[in-house]
Amino acid sequence: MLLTVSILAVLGVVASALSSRLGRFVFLLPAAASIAAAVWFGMQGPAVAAGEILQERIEWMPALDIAIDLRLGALQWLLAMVVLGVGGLIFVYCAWYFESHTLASRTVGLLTGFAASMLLLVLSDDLIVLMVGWELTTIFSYLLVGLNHRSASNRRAAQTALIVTTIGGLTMLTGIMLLKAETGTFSLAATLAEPPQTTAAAWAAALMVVGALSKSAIVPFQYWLPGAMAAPTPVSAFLHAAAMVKAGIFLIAALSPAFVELPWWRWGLVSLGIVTMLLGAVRAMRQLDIKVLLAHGTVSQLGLLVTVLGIGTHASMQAGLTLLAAHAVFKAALFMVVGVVDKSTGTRDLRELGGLARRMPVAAGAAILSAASMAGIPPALGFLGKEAALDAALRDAEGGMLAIGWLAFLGIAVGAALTVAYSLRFVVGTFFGALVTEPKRRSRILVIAPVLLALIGLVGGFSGELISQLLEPQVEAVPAGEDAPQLALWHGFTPALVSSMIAWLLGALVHRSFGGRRRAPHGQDPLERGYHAGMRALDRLAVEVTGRTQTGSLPMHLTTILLVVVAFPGIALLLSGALTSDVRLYDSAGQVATAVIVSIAAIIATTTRGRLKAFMLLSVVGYGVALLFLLHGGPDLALVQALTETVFLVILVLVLRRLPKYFTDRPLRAARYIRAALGIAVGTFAALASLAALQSRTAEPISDGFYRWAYEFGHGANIVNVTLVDIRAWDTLGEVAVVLAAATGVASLIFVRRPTAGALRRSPSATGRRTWLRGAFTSEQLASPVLEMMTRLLFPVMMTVSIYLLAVGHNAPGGGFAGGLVAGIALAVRYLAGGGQELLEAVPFDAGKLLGGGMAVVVLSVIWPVLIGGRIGESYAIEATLPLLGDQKLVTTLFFDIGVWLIVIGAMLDFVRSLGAGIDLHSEQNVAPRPQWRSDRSLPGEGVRR
Amino acid sequence: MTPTLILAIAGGVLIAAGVYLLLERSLMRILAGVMLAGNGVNLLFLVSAGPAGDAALVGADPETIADPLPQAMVLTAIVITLATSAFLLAMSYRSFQLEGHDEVADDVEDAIVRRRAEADLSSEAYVDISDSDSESGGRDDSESGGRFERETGSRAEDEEAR
Repeated sequence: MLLTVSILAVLGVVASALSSRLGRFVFLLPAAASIAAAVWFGMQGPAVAAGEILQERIEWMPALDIAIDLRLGALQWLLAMVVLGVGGLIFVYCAWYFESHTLASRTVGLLTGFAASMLLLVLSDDLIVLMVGWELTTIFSYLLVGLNHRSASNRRAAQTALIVTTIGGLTMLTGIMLLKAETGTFSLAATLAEPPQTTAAAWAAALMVVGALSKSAIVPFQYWLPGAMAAPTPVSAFLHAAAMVKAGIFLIAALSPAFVELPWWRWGLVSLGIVTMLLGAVRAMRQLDIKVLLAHGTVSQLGLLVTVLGIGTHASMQAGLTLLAAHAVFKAALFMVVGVVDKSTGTRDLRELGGLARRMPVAAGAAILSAASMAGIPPALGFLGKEAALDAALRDAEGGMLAIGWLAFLGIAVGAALTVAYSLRFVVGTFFGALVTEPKRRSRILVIAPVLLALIGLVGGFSGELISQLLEPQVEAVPAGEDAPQLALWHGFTPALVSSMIAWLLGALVHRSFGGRRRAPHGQDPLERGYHAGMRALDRLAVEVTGRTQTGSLPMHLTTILLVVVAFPGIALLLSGALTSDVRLYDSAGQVATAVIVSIAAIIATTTRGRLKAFMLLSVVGYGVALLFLLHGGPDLALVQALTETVFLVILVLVLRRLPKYFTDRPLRAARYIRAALGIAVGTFAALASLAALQSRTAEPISDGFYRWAYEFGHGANIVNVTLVDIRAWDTLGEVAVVLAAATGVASLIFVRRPTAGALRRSPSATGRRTWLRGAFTSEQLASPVLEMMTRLLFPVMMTVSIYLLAVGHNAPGGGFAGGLVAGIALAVRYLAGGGQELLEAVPFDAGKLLGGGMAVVVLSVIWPVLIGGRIGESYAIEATLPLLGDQKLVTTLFFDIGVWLIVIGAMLDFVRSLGAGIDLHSEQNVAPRPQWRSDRSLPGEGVRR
Repeated sequence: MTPTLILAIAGGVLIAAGVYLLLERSLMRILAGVMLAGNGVNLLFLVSAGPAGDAALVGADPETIADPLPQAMVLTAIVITLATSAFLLAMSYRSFQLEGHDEVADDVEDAIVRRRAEADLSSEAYVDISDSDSESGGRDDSESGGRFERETGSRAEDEEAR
């Protein structure tokens, strides 16, 4: 079972790819898989009929009690046969239906994926997995209905289908959760074994039934189904006739053994079913498009199924399931016939159809047989089901539940008459009377699938005994009612047969009176109108709310967010009493001095107008914070902070060359007092919150164990570094990804559309003077021999330091971040000494290669232990005694750190190359901004490509 | 545990100064605000690390070392702040290159939505076909090549609103 689901799922993925080779015949792959699987499932029939249950189970999320648990009982078997058997024939049909290659390749993957998820839905015993299948079918339905996404009405139909069924699906999920809270299990079988009797469980059942009704297009959700006919005809045959819309019926049938005795169950289902049945039938009578006629017919038939199953007795369960099978078979066949008619005449309009029986006798035969099954005319399977349904309703009426029984009986009988009428409208209107449109093409192969299905429907009519046996385990599961009578074509001259005959007669009369109508249907379903009005109101509400709240001003948005931060958590903090006066004033005198300097520098930085001055003050803050880190006992932090501060200072100055000297904003404005007040409020709140957080700590810090773990699992002595590369490696992985993205972003903002190294071509050094560096400036005005010489000497030393920091990082302060930053500074020095050319001499390729290579190293070093049977992120130590170096220990997380090191170097290279050499290039090409003297503005670059 | 007051005060001052700058419109000052606030938050991390101690190296007394976990978090935060700052810096430069200044203008799309709200219109993305006859259902005429229908209606409405 699981194998079938997986094969179909895999086929769904590969089929689209294969379609470029196989063309439309790619459909034969899922067809073969489905039919083979149908044969296998068919062979399980006897065992299932004997009440055996096939089970396959894979644990998925044991902690949440969720498992992929497939159980094949009688009900599941029936649905699986529908999905695979009818589905397999539809796949065959598709191979000859689709002519355009693009449509075929788009459809095949979606349709196969649908088959897999539908199968998962019906086989799953775990309600969460069932829900997964359920929502997957919704999504596939949405994609298939919107296949022709260029048409607005198709997109809208797809959206309606999606929204309606998803609302139902989410309601159902709520019900499942509620049920789990009552029963303690997600297993359907366990729930049915011990049905919960509480009020909450009743609510859960009601919520799940709402989901079922929405999926099966029962009033008040019925309007999405006719719209879904925008999908190609084979899709409608599969999803919106045979399989997907049966999911709700399936759920009702599956739940009724447990919940049928709820007071609203029978009344609710029977009355909603009857309303749907009659509404669908009446609307079907008015359609001109035969496909939409059948769609309304499907709504009507789904209503019939809910009515019959809603009666909730042994007999009604048997009748309902027989009707379900019959409907899947005949409705799929009818849709496929519509596809044949559409293909050969080019129209589905009843006004342009007629008399096709003589031109297409085989298709007409299949249509007539199937329509007979739909109308409940012997000896078709549909007749068997409808007889049983009428009989079940009557037994109910006699067996105590008088009102419901009679209501159901009358409803089914009237529905049957109307069904006869619209069946006649379809058959007579299409195949009899005067020939209107001459069929252009003949499609012999296309009719095979509908003919086969029509024959199955006919044979089914004579297999009442077999069907009764197959369904028995599910029928017996319902607690109410006497034993179901065996299905048979001839029961004698029973009241059910009499009412059937009356229905035929009435149906024929209705057809005579109204069947000839050829007026275009007008007026809209009030429920559908309500839905559209609701959607429009929602949209208007969204516009109003957005228009009122989104002012589009960044400062306003930030102010709102920060005000909320201060107001709600702030007040909560003050009221909670978490804040006490238990504080230590300071740790050391140096800390106090540094903190004071940092604070003063920050305050002055806010008021200064000079751009460079402000950022110099920020540097004071940055280095001060580094000192505070050091005083607190974080040498790694201090190292990295000091290095980043240096790097930033370099790239900042590189950019400031081209920017005006002063900030734009005049500091003296009224709003600044408001901003200052908000800033003080937020700062105060943050400081108090951090105090309160530590004061109210009750648990032991998680990092207490790090001391031991660092050495035992991480094989390193520098706990902070081990935390980065081992204990919290995922965190670091995400972080270096951010660095990578930011570096790429910087490069693309400067070099807009060209690769970075490509934009800066290497030119052969044509300098006449002897230089210390190969890529040194050619112009003597730019060159600084002292700097060149220093660079020549310093670069190797700095790179050695960088590698040293990387190597010792696991046991002493250092690591990939610090090492990479030192290398970045070394590269910046190369740039300062010799410009972009010298940087190219240092690294003659794109920074992207370093970034990408580093990322690959990081990811591989996290996942490689899996290959040797370890866990993701596990680290190992390899100890060896080497000559000269003595006992050495290599920890595998070093590779992670090397990846980090590469990424940081790559990012630094991107920063220096973009903001340094890139801006140089802009200046040469006159596209850099030109700062104005004593102004806060620049002239934009001339002719900048946007 | 007992927090260190002076660190919390310094962190609070840095955050206050950072927020003050963040509320400006000039990208460069926003950048300065991000850097200040980032440093402030990092200091508050130190507060939550408890008292100052020795470097967190195995071999030191486990009772006197500083808490290593906040340090690891701050270390990642420092590097991310550097990356973000470089990005903001490049954005500011690009803005000068294109416009001659780096002020963040009000969002144009928001203004459009506001005008639509004032004119009592639905959103641009909303296509109203509920008036048309939807009973006929769609046709899968993508087989016949398909037409490209573009909804010009809501655009026209929007023009009207302006």
